[in-house]
Amino acid sequence: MTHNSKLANNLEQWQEVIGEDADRLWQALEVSGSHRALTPPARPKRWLSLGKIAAALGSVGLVALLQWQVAQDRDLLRTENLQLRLLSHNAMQQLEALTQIQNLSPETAMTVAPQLLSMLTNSEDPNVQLSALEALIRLQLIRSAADLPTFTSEQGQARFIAATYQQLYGE
Amino acid sequence: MPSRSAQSLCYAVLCLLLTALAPAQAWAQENNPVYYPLALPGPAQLASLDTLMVYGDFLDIRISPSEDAAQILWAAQPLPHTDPAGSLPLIESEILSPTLNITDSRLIIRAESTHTHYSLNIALPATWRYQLRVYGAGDIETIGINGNLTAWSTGGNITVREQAGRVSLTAMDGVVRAQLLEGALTGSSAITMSHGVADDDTLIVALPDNAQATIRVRARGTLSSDIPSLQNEQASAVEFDFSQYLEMKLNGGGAALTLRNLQGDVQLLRALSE
Repeated sequence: MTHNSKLANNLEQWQEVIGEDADRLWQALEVSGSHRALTPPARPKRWLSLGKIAAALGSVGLVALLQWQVAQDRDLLRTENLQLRLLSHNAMQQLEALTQIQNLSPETAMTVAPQLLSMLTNSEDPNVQLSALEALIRLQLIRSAADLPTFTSEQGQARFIAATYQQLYGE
Repeated sequence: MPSRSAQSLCYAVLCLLLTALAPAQAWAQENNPVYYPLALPGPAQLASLDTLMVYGDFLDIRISPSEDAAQILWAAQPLPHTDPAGSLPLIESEILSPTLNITDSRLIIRAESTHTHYSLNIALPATWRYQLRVYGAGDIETIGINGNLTAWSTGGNITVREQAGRVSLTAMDGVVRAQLLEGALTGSSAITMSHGVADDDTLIVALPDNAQATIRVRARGTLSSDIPSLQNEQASAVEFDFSQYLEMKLNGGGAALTLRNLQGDVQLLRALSE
């Protein structure tokens, strides 16, 4: 490499490192004569930096993915637990599950809509039926008396639920 | 040895006495029904059970648990009824004993008859779970149950005292009075009253001072309470929006206690210790 080409290369290196201020700095170095002696700063190791950024982004993404997976698993467990309680024939467990459903988002609660309908139709406990009815109304799966299912539970209880619906919602 | 004529005279007097006393006996039977014991399984089998289920059409149920003397007494009175065609005003029907079955760990009693009103006095362990259902008319009364209690009556009152297990109580045409202890609030419980009776349509629930619960109330009338921590909330004679629940936290909140009265008021009282 000739001396001139080396200087040109140095200038290019300065420009690369410090950008638009490089020209003014180079002129100042020329004036002082030190542009021949002063070694330009090392070029940034671009690919290494990009690699670091990518690794950092990857780590963040991985952590987020793991957290999402854990949250999904927890939701799944919660939903499965909820479904088990809803499927139980124990009225107290069903009441407990119905209380939990009140605190769920409509999207999550919608995943147990079939169980809610089953409880409304088949439960032998009027309080369980009423709580299921309220949950289904909140999910807008029951909008009028015409949406009420055909009850398989004892007839007096079916009349009670139908009459209660009228009292609660004025139909 | 008395003569034959003297013997005849004695029989005649006895017959006269019995004839004279018969109406009085019938009256006494009508007003003080005679109770008979229902044959229970032996102690070993009884020890393997943990749930009592009772079904009946016209039935009063009273439960006072006993740990050492299991017993179920039943009495029955005929109800006036007509034949299906309606041509005969009254039909005499045989009164049958309630039936008793065992399924899994449950003792099941059925007292289902549309022409007989049964009464059951039950003494079984307090730790059992009790599921009581009256389809026609009849009251349910319990005292001192530690297990979970579900009870519903289509036509009668439900009175629950010193209840230490969780409850699901429903009265369609009757009032509910419930005294709940701390143990009743360890998980979700619910009480619903639909119509009340002519001169009383208030659902009354008594709670201990130190109970922690999240109370959700939906009622057509007003809500009142003499519980200090609830008075600080919104529960002092509140007339509220029937379309949604009023939620209050007792002593910081806890398990949900849902109260519905579709026609009347709700009163929350302090359960004063005696």
